[in-house]
Amino acid sequence: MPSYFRQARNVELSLLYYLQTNLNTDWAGTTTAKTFKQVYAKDVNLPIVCVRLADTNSFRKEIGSTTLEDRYLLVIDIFSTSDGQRLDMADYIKTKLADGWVSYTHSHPSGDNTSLSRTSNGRDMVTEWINDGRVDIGQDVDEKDKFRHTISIRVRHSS
Amino acid sequence: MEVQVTQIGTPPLVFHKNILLKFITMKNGLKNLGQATRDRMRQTIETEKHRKAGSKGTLEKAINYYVDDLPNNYTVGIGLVSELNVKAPYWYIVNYGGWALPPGTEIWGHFGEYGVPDPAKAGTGVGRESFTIGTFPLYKMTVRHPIWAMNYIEKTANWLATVVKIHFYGWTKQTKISTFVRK
Repeated sequence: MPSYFRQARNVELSLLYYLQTNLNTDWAGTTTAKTFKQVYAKDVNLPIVCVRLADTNSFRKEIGSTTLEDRYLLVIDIFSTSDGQRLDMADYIKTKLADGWVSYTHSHPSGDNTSLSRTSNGRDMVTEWINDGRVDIGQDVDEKDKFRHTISIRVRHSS
Repeated sequence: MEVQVTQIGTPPLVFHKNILLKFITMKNGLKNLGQATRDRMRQTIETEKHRKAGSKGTLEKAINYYVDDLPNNYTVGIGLVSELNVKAPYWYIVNYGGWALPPGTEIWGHFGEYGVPDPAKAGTGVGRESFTIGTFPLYKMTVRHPIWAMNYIEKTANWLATVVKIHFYGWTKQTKISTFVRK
């Protein structure tokens, strides 16, 4: 009996899968990650793109309705090798996000968390662009923090 | 011959005063929204901070709301960068995450009241007490983990975008309200 993931998790994994697929084709050598722990691991090299579901806000679809409409805050952190790459990669990712992407329902066999299955389930799209800019921590910083960029988006799932 | 002119409807002066009154009502509403947004940002930080024990809430207290009332523009802003850089200069790295100091850096200070991290409070190898640099008693700490990104600015913007859409959309179609992060 497969164990299906809930929508919030599916939204995060769908975006990660979408960017991973595109980056593997257009930007070979880029690592995609889901946590800062993975980003800062010693055996992971630049460039790195980290996708995280940071927050969810819900509101009722209509007056009197108990159905919730969710908006997901997804944060995409880009860790680059140079400032030029940072700008190019940010622009590339924004272009890819603009038209939306296929959303998947993920699952894995009960008791087995090593394999992941995905079934197409509608689309996810950006409703607001909250933040798009350089992350400037300073001059004397770790190699991975030198050329960073962050893109924050509000995402809506449509079945 | 006598000509009598009778004005029908709202006189221009009264109409003008009604408009001003609505603007004042809207300004008060925006100011209240600014306060609520500031409170929301403070609450996000308070809830999600990593080291709650012994925390003085310095970052939360440094975040305030500011009003710019200009002739053609009424702005309510949350958090003043120049104030944050003085009162809580780590506000930036707490939001975006990263290495505050290079890994392996040795710093001197203490956890909690006066000591080394309390093992009973340890999380996944990381203590949960606040850390004070440079005051006695001094213990050597070695930086091993980066600051994790809290993204309290983006989370507050996400909340605000939901609130504004729900409560203001109907009668603010002629007014542009946008949420964005200004550096």
